[in-house]
Amino acid sequence: MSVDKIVEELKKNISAFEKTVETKELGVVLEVGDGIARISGLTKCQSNEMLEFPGNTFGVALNLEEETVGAVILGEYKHIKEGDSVKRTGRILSVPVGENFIGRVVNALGQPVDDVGEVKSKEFYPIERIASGVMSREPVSEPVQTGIKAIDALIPIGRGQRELIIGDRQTGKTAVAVDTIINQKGQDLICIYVAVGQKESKIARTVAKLKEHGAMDYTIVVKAGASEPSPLLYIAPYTGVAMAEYFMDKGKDVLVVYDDLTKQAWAYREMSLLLRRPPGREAYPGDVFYLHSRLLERACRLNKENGGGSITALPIIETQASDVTAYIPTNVISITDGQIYLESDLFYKGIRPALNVGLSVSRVGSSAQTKPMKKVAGKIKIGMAQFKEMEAFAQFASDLDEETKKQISLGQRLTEVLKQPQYSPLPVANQVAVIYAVSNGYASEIEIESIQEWESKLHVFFNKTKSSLMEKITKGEWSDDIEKELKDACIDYSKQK
Amino acid sequence: MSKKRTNKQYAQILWEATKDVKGKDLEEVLKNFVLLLVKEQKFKQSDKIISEFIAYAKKQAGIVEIEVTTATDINKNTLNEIRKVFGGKVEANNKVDKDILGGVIVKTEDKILDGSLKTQLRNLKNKLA
Repeated sequence: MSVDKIVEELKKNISAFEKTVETKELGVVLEVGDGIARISGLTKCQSNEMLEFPGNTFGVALNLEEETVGAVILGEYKHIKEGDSVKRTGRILSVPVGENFIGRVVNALGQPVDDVGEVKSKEFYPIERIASGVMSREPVSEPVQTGIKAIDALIPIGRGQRELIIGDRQTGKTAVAVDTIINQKGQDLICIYVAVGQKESKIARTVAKLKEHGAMDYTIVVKAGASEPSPLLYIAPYTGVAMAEYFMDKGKDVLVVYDDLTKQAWAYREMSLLLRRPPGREAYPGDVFYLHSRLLERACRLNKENGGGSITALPIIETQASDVTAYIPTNVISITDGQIYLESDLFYKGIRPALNVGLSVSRVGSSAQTKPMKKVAGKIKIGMAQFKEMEAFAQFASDLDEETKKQISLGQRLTEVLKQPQYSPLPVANQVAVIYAVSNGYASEIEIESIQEWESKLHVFFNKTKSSLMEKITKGEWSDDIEKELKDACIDYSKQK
Repeated sequence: MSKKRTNKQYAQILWEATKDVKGKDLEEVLKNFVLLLVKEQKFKQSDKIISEFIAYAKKQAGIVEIEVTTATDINKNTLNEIRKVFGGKVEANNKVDKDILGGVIVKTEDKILDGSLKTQLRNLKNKLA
């Protein structure tokens, strides 16, 4: 554009600008402290409305009372004094959303915190929205490939599912979620990682890992660190799901990881107590169930008429001393469609991911599993269950009958093969191949100590020489012919040794 | 413990109690009111209650208080013009704030009418961005 044209355009814009008198309702701060403000006035204020405090600080009206409004302040509150005026904005708390957020690290209000400049966005989504209704949904049909053998085979996750990851501290909960994100390269799934109440160092490490594996190309990180005020920790998961809904409305599939919801519940408890809401069990307010149910209900699989997008939710809950009967864990277990239960005992035994196969379930995911995986996984489920029962007898190895010995040896090899190091997700076809090989006894001659080596060589062998078979399995094809091909391939591999 | 009363409620109580009382009775009522404040440990708040009372009494009498903020001093006539807009009994305060650059901001009890140059420019900036 030439200079003249720009000037003309600018003049046009300026002359078209109408002078308006802004009318805003005003309230006065009565008291302020601990991130909470009581405001008089604001008679027409709505629940969850954004309020403008002096110094470009915003708050949210949460308690609407007879004379006053109780609001939480989003961000720094030290400069707010008694007698300050508070303006209504008329807007329900909402965050900017859009494609430009992909690859960025933002805070709970959608403002970038990664020093790469501002994020341009035209659209705003309210952080609280009613979840999609029954008529717009359909059952899950496509899988989320986590790339973790134990999960994809035994507790598969479908797109649109809510699968809880639960376990004590230091059991690899975040590792499961991060591995899942890393494995989504080229899978047409946008990932949103919501970090709530975590140490800044841990968030930085996670972001660095995601970058290292090229996962930031399709990932948004929403962060509310441990040092941020509790209102931000409380809204961060809602911000994440609002951003996910934007993509879902565009017909895309999204994965949201909430790491973790225990900290969000703590933040909400703190806020509720400061707002003088009556405490209930474990001092949580009465609506702490609704806090999580309304968030996780927003995960869904839409039907074709509604665009066919989906939101898969992977909430994380941290238990204290393996107590899953505490208030928050039981709540979230009952809301979600299954849980991945990680145990510290298994973790220290060297079984990583430290998945407790018996207690972990996926209530809907099996309908989304690909056909080959379904076929080969059926066998190991039975194998693992029988092994669990007989594991105790393993030490009397010499006194056992042949059949029992065989089952124990199979179980030990399955356990070994389901171990997987962090940051190394495995493609489905390779998972199918190795699980098929082990469950059909092609590894029975291999020493347990050298199973890992055997497995990695098997992957190399299959990738090199059986690429057409692998392609078919990746596509989800399965027939007697393919099974025979797989069998022959396993025999070839065993012979080669 | 009885329910905590706000300063506004005390002001209302005082207004109701003193509405139609005169002379000796009024003195008695005020004395009792002060005793009530002492009893409910609200004596410290008396300044605030008084200002709430003034505001409440004005509202009951139909007097509207407005605060007019301008960038420079304005003369009485202009102020009167603004007063007329808000109807009959209006008490107007003038405040000078150079930061608003120009125009006028009128603050009533629970509303703010912002016609300042600063806000206009900000809106223009948002529109052009």
